[in-house]
Amino acid sequence: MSIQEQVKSALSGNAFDEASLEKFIESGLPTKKNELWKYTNIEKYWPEFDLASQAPTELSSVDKDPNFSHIFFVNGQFQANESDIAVEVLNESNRDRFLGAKSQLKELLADEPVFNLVESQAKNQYLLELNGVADKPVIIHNVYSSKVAKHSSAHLNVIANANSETTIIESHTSDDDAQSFINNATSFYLKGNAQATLIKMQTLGAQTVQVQNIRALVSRDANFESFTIDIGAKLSRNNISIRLDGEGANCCAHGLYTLQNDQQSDTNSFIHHNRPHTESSQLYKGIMNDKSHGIFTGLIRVEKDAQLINSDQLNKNLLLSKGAHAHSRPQLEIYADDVKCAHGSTTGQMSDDQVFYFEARGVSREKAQKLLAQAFAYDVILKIKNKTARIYAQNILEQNFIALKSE
Amino acid sequence: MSFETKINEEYKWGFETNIERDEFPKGLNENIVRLISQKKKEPEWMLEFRLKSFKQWKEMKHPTWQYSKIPPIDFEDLYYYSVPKGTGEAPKSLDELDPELLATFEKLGIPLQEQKRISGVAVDVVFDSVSLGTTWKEDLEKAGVIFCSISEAIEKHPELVKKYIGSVVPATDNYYAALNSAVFSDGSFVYIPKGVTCPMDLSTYFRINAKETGQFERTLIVADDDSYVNYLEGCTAPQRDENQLHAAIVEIVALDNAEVKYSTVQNWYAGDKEGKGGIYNFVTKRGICKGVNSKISWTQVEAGSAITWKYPSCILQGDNSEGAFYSVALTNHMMQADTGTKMIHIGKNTKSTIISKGISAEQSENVYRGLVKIMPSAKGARNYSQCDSMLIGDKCAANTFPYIDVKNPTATVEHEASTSKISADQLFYLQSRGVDPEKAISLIVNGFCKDVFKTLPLEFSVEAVKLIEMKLENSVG
Repeated sequence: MSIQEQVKSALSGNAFDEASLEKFIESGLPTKKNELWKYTNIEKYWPEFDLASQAPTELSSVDKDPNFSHIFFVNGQFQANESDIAVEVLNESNRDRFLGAKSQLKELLADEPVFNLVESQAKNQYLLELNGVADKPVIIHNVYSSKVAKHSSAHLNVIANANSETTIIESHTSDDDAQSFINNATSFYLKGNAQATLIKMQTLGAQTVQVQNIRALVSRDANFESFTIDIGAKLSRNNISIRLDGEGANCCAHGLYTLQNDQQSDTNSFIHHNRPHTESSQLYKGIMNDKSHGIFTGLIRVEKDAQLINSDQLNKNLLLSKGAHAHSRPQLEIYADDVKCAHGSTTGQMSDDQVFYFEARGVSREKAQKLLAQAFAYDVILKIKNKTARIYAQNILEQNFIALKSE
Repeated sequence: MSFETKINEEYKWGFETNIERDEFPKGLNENIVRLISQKKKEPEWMLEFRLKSFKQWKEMKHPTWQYSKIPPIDFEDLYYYSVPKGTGEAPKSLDELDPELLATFEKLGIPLQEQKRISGVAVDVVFDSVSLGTTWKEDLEKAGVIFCSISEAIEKHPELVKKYIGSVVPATDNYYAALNSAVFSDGSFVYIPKGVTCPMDLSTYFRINAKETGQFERTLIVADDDSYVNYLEGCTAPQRDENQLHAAIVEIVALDNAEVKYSTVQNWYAGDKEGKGGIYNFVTKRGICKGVNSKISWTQVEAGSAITWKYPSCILQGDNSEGAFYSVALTNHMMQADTGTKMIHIGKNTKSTIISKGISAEQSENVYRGLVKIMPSAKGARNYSQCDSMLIGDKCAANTFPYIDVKNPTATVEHEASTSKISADQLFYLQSRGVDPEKAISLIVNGFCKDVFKTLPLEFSVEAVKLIEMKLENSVG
């Protein structure tokens, strides 16, 4: 059975969003002919589409750090008992509160087949409302145990109400031998002057594939920051689409991918300046070791009457080994004239001079390389404003660097 | 402050020469391909090359990935061969040319008759489908340089043409390359022998005159070991309401230690304010640095054409070879330009530099699209790219689509780009010192393009500055 047929037979008649299902059935999974999927052949990683097995297992152990509020998802399904914050199931009654309010949100990632697939599935559609200034960051634990579930899909819709301020860490973990195809989405609707930060910390097992779709509609004077930090998984793909839809709206989209063996990470970010007086900033850094591939595609679009825009984008790649590849496509599409947009991209190896500096001071070559790689990566982490969240991310990254070796 | 640009200056090269013409019937089929080949008295292998290309072209589909909006082109409604009467045969001496033709080139500022030339630039002139003649032939022959029309080269130097034609741009490369390979009617051929520094700059001037004619010319430059050549190219066309197609191929081969500099000032008719008429400029230009230490540099000033679609590229195969791409693309009215370069690093320690400056005014669209590819074999490869765009007016667009693929960890690749409008501070500075706004804009734009202009040969550099100035005339601050 072709992929379209598999999906059709599984979802037809009970799709969450019929239009999205139709779109997916028409397009199928993206191929390399799709310019945004030029370097990633997703079909290769696609197992039999069997939603029936998307059953949650029990959480084995719950370790709650008191510095955070916790929310738990297992195989995409919300765990009410363990969670500190209630997440609603998105259904007909509360759907309009989110989607109906701003139909523009529907336009984001509308042509992304993988996202359409998330929107097609009635299961695991959630709604989270954020109010006021959160006293501590929220961790959303996404745990995958794929001995039973090959496919996992969930969509979390977040409304950040006016003047709210929240930092959310989305942690994704799985067992080392788990073989899942995880297709998730997180959508944000930020109302006036809201501030939301989303930090995706992905440390999945080496056999998992993850596609993460992040959408954000940012209203007047609101500020959205997204961090996608990919450490694990065989393949991780980020589809990020942010629309700055009110004057004074700002966004940051930063990312870090540290890869080894034959891992692949592919980030596609799209920042859409739809209104004047909006700002965006992006920094994506990649460290590629062994035979890993890091891919970055970033597009900034400035609409016709969106004057007085400030936007920058930077992609830096560090190649540590012979077989490692970096692909970088920083792109600009500008239709307004009073703008300041810049992008840059660099790819290279570790500077011999810098390593030598350390060696001359008695630091071993190995250690020097580790320190330099770590410093390279911390540039991204240091942009996390919330201190608790920053330390959390730093700790996870540090563990990862213990294993780093370079040629 | 708004800078509404009103560019009213007429296209002064837009006249048409009334001249009797020989042309084949409209339309494209195998017969036309055979007829062209026959007319040129080409050997069998050339005809085969054309027929094979034609077959491939028929199987290909018009590409759709480009940014430019290209109205469908009816390939059946074009003349594929059109020559001024009496020139269709083997090139004759310049004295026998129709005086009308000579007057045309006089008007364009290219006196063909050598005696009228003071300084030495050898010119090969291509008028619609045929090369009219090449100046300074004898002097070049003394140095051993072969510079003639491609038809003549096929006749006189078949071994060279056979060896290199299609070796850099194969017929299957793209839709328009296949079309050109099938129906190309003329063009220039250059061969610089071993150890020779070409004694003068070589130049080709392309002129489209006939109506409803497609121009398909082909340029092949071969620089043998330790040679050097500086090559210039210019083009104009009459002002008409319908669009015309120009699909050319330029191939450059640089062997060991050879250096080729290729400069273009492209000023095809760009259509009027409403975007009516103008040339579709779909050109495949590619050079290969085959030998060690070889160098190829492309410099282009793109100021004309309704739609420009070209990517002069370098394949850096030889160790230590170098490629460079310097470009200024100016678009106004409804022009669309999709241009950039590809740098394919294969050899060790290969180097490439890309400097691209885009200026869009009025309702035009300007796209930089580029590829820097470092193959696993390209140890120590180095690339530096810089693409800046300037916007004048709030209805234009500037886009940047670079692709960077690095497959070797020892490579260093840098890319930077910026987009901004003409700085109000700079304008104010100049104006407060008594420079009028128009002149100030022109100064700023010229400064913006300086990195590219300084790589042009002197005559071209002056022409380019004037061209940009003229195009931006009547800009109101």
